[in-house]
Amino acid sequence: MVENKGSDKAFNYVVLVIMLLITFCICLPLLYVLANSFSSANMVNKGAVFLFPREFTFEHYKKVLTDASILRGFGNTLLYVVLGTLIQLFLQFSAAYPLSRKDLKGRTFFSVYFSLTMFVSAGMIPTYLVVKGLGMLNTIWAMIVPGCVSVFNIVVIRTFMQSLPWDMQEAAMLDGCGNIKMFFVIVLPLCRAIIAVMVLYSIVGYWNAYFNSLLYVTNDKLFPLQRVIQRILVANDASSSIGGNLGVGEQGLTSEVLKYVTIVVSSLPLIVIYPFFNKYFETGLMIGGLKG
Amino acid sequence: MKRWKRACAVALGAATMLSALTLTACGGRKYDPDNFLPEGTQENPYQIVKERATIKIFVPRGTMNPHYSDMKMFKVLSEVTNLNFEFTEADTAAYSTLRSAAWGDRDNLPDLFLFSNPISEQVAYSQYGALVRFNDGNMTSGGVQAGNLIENYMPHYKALLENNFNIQTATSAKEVATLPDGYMYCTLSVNDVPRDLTFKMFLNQKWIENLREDGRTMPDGKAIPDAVDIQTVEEFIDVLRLFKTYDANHNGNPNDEIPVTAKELSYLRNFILAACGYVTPEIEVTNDGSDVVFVPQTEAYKKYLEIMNVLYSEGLLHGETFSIKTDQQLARYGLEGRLGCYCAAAPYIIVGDDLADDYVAFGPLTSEYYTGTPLQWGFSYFQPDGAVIPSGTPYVREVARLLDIMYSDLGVQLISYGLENEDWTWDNEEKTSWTFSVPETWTGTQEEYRATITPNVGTASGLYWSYDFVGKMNDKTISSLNKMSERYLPYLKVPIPQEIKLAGSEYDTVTTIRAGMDVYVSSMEYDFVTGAKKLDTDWDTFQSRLKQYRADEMIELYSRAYKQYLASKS
Amino acid sequence: MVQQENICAETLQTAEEPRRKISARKRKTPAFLRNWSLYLLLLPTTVYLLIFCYVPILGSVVAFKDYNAFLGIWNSPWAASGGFQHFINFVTMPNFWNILGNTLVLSIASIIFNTILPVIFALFVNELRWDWSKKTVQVISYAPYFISTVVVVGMLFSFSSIETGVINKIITLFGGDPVNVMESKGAFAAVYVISGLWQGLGWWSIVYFGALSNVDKELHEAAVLDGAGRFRRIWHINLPTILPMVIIMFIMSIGNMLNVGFEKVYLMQTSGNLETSEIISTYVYRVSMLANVPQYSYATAIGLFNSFINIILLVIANVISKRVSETSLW
Repeated sequence: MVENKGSDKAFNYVVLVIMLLITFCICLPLLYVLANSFSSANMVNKGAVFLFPREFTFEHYKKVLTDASILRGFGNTLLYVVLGTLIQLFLQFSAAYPLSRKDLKGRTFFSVYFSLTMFVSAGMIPTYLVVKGLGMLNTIWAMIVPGCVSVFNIVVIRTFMQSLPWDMQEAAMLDGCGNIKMFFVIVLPLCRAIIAVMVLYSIVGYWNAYFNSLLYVTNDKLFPLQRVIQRILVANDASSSIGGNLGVGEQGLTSEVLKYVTIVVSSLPLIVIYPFFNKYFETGLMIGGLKG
Repeated sequence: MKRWKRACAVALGAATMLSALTLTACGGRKYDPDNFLPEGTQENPYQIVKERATIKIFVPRGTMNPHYSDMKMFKVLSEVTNLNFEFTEADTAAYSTLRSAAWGDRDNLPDLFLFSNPISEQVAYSQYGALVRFNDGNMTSGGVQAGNLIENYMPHYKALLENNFNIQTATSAKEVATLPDGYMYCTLSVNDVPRDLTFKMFLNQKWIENLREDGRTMPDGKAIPDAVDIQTVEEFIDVLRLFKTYDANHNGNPNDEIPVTAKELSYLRNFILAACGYVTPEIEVTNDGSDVVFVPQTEAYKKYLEIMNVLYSEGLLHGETFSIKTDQQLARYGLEGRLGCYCAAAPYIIVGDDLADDYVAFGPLTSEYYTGTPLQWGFSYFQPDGAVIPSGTPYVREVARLLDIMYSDLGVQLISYGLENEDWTWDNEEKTSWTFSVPETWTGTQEEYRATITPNVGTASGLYWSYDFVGKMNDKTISSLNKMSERYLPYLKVPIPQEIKLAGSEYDTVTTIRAGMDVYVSSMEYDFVTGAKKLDTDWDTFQSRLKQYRADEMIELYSRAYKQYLASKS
Repeated sequence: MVQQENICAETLQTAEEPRRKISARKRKTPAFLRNWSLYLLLLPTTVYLLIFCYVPILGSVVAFKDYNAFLGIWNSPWAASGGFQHFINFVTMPNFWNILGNTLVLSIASIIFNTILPVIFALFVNELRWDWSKKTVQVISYAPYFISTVVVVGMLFSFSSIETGVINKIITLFGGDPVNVMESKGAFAAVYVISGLWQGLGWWSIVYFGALSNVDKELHEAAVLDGAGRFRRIWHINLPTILPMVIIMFIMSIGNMLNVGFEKVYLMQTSGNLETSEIISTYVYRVSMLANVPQYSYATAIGLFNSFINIILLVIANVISKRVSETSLW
């Protein structure tokens, strides 16, 4: 980017300092989680850990990572993320493009039809009966299809598409380019940045999906990672058995640490992928010399 | 505006068409009435059908439970009865929703809903003939003439009902199971194991001894009583004051002792409230048995708030009691040896194994205000929620026999610790104790192992959790817990007898009223205890506000049901 | 914005003439036939929403009934008062205004801070001139989003502990009396919003990072030549580029005014703060999922009530936005 003045440089440094300060503040609780995950159960329960691990141990990580169901959970979630993201992107972008076109007849109807679903929500039981009626219970589709379209995202994509310069599409149309070709060949390449955002949203959404599995999936073999983690946490929590039948042992004390460990384990992959997407946020319209 | 209307109309029209399409129906299984064995066979009295048949069962599944089909209990039952089981497992985190959805799909109802069957549902559905009656001589279901199920097919359950499950209590098992129309739509779930019948308050006996050693005495100069000898809430407070003032834990710091706390206020509340004459802040029968009251509307509740205010303002009640929500948060202080008194399922959960022996269960207490028999909040021995059979299934007789097996010795053993000689063995000829055997190769905890046998782990599901068997377990921790809990048994008060049932819509009314009112009551409780509101000036406002929340309407519903119950008894 | 629009207007004008030719050629075919392929693109999502949203929404009719799962949605009896009994029960509840007020306070505070701060954050991250700093700030600020609500609330409780909490260490450092902010009626909304921002600031600004890549760099070059400073360029070039997105976000959050999620609020509730922390969704949770006798009809009625108010607010916001900024949801 262009810069020429000295005041610009000073400005750069001021922004840098402020942003680093904010980042540091955000960072502290993260360190807290990390430090706790590496500390002994005793120290965590006493609340003695703040920014550095006390009585450093890998034991809890070992416990979580060697759990057989965790690996299957990772595998399942990966499958749901990949399939789900593909379907979700297709449904959202294919709907957003026509809505971004001012020359679409009935645009208001479709906009209202789409938007209403954001603000009026259906009850759980009717939704369950639909999913069941479609024969999706206890299949991977139950984890992928319900809740796959976010109208919120469609609106965001549409807004982005509307901000694209119209002249290019106009020109293509003159060359006899059809709508579908236009969508795939001209519009989508311009949408790299928003595609990156939506892929990230979708990955994170599917990665964290938990509630659908509670309702629609009873087979352990199909459980996503988050559900598996939930089971590990509860299984280690003695307080769940108050008034019931007591287990013997100190497993209750480890559950607090396990909470932190599972957070690190389950969110690390998401944090690691971010820089790959970041690249696309930077690529603007100049790519491919499309901007005339 | 016009566009809007058109948009909505088209959307709705299309949606209606599609909803019609999504309705699907499922074919049924073929039922052969002659396949049923009313009394088993010569060699196998447990056998229920000649040729293998499949029963569909709806069950709650907690996070600790493996699949039901993988549990030893049901493998054994399937083997001895010759039945196959097809389970629909509803995760407990979404149980009521999934249950409701299961009922909504009427063409695919299961043959049996096992465990956790809400009484409100039985009341509401029975009037539409949705449920099988267990004690109806003319019972027909799915074209099968079954008659009185309990008489004809459930000898074990019948015998247990007759002698009230051998439990010495005024509560009648039969009445708990019966709805006002005189029929039983469920079988009972029964629990008579002391440690699971109430909560336990633990007091630090070691600290008391430490203080005596230091020459401290009660304010009147008498010696500090042992924890188990403390009789009144006033004595209790005096002991707490000593904990607070002196270095009771002998660590050199007189200020780090936490005299009393609780995981969630409710346990401490019920303990102190009991010393004022009521055991819960809910609908409760008065101690003379004449009527029911809503406890926050009573003088006893006011007295309780006064006591709590004293505990709080003197710093005896731990300042974090209102925001602590888990055992782990309490354990933080417990492990450091800073707790004087707390409530928990067992001491070691809060203070670890090293300090656990310092604490003993104590109470129940009385007070200057309430001098009657001490009271302790007790869970009911009988719950009308064990199993229900949806009418329409042809497999009524098969299911009835299956349920009966679950009430037999075999069933009791399976639901608790598994199969004799495989999972546990008698220690002696007289069968006075037995040992649970966890395989050496098992790496998890004992409870995790037990979860592979029975659904009882985590969710506490079971039809009959019997002290006669469970109490004989050879395990130090568990038997000491049972022993400690036994001191409460004579004083247990179930707030409102399980025999009392409201009408279907009345449960809805009560739920709606309580959802708003409970929030208000607990918010006011906080204000009164912490002194943000004063009992002298704000009590009347509190009372009139409770009336606005329709407290009286709620009382009236229960009062009517209770009077009916009294009338039926006399 | 102005400059961009001018450019657009120009290109539109030059495109005007050939377009007329096209329309002349295709005059006889109506517009919706000419664009049939656009409808083809819309079809899958339209059908999807029909099945997974509109069909189940029909089930909302239970709001006007006394739902009985055995009888099913259609056969359950109608509720009293012409079907409106559940709505009446809700609005005549003694703490109705209290929980409505609490909901609005949380919601409006969230809308204001959660819409504005991520925009500012994104704009300034965009001004970072060193690649490493940009990446570091983005990755770290985005990470807290993945910490589950349960743990975030657990941390809040632990930080606000009177004895060991950081918050009280700071308060006493400045000579104040320690208070547990989790039990404070006054601080609830602040704690809710601040912890929410901590978790979401980076995440919510991602969509703006995407949009900021759309900024026409030639405009910046031209502005620099004209002697425009950094703030003026941010204000006149970057902000207008993402403004439609911001407005859309804002409208959508207004349309969700009453739908404050229950989970975090519910976990943060203590008997000390209930007076300000009980909101509509936690109340619904109490009568449905949490209740021994779940009240589906009542919960659905409250949901419809919410939707009704939300849609009114949404339409108003949309109309205003359309007038003022020419950006709208439809």
